[in-house]
Amino acid sequence: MGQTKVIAFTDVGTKNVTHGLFIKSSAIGSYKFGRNLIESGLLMNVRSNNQRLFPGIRILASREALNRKKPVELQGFLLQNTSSDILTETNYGALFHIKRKYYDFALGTNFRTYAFTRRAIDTYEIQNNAVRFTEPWNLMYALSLYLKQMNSYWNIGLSLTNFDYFLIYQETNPEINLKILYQLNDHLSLLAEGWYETSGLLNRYANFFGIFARTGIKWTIK
Amino acid sequence: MRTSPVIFLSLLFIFTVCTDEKNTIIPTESANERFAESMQWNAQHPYREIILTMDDYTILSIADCHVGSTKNLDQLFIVAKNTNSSAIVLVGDLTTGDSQDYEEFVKHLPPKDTLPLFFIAGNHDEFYSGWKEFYNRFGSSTYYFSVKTPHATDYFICLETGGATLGDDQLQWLEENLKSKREDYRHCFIFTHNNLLRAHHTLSTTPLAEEVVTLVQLFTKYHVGIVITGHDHLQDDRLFGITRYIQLDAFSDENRNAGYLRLNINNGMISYSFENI
Repeated sequence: MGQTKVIAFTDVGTKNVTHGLFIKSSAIGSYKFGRNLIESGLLMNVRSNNQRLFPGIRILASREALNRKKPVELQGFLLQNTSSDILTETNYGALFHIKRKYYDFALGTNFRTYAFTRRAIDTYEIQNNAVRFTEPWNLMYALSLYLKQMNSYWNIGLSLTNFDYFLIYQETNPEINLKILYQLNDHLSLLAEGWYETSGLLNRYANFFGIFARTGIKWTIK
Repeated sequence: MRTSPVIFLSLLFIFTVCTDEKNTIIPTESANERFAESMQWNAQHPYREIILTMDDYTILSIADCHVGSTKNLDQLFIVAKNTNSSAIVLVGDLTTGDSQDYEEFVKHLPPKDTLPLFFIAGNHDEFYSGWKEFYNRFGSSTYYFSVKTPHATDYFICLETGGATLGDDQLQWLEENLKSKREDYRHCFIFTHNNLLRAHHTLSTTPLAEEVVTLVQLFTKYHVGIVITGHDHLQDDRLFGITRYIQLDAFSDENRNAGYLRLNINNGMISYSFENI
């Protein structure tokens, strides 16, 4: 029998491109059957300089395998962001993900394509050969370290990563994320996270890009 | 309570790196602070206008000369004189970041008022508190200038992206300038150090995807003709939307492919070529 999970959270913060405070809410549902999992999610703008109500979607499929009796997960995903009136950003890629008692680690790659919308192509008379641009082979990584074992009813974790549910940064733009998890009962958990984003790491010199807080709930339907 | 030792080791690592006296991760000032200083400079030094008696003109641009050594730089000023160029725009990483490099760089510049030079700070120029060195010598790194010919005026905007982001204040300044001034000019060009588009896999930092989207949108809406950058030390030239994105080779003496961009306006039309030094 399968297991369904829903994660819902809200982000509040500021970034160099948001013209002040932004508020975004997200809902992600997943269904696990055997060693397989499918997941989809939707991002919603509550307060933003982007007029689109739903600027992001996420689709993911994964399969778990055993390596020396320990689980490893291979994920394939597609993300689409329409955070601009005239451009869309589509990412697809694959991730290798392992979870252990005190840490989890993911490594993968993605291809990002920026493309002008049909309306923009017509408005600005954009030539066919200038409609899209693809960034190939971006490295994705996430390392999270936890204070207590993963199955503890509360935990604190610290992550270094270049991606989130609806966004993938370039490999040279790491983010730091401090999270607190609290399990209310067998079905419900609360999460609170603080994210700090830099504009680069291997630049010899990089500045602040953004900061935001996330609060949410995980609901496991057995 | 059982505690994972790795978390403390990692926290210790972050603390150690962040408090490194050479500021490898934490810069000495923010993008907004550098922008504010640039605006202070602009308030005391009016934006420059180059007035020409001919309709056709040439502007040269280089990136990443990384002085130290100055062989290519010396040669560039001779080329500029021989080609009767109207200005040179140096799009960042003028130095390797040392104050001695700045001294050396300034020594090799042509005499003031013989050739308009426009400087933009790059990430190397700002390293080791280098922004102060840059600012004391060249002033603002966020400004515009114009070239006025008998029949039209063109608009040149210089942006500071040494910290791999414009910062929100500079972004707002850019947006307001494009909105209020763009239609007064014929062509519009943007110069900045950090390349925006990652055309190939690189470990060189570029602005975050959200900033890239914001900038491409602005450049498209306001009909920016060409965006000229450096930083990645590898030439690239591509049209995306209605804007051409040019990434220059490093102009440093060590680079075998060192070259400059020659930007020509002839009969009101833009053309350009990459020239080896």
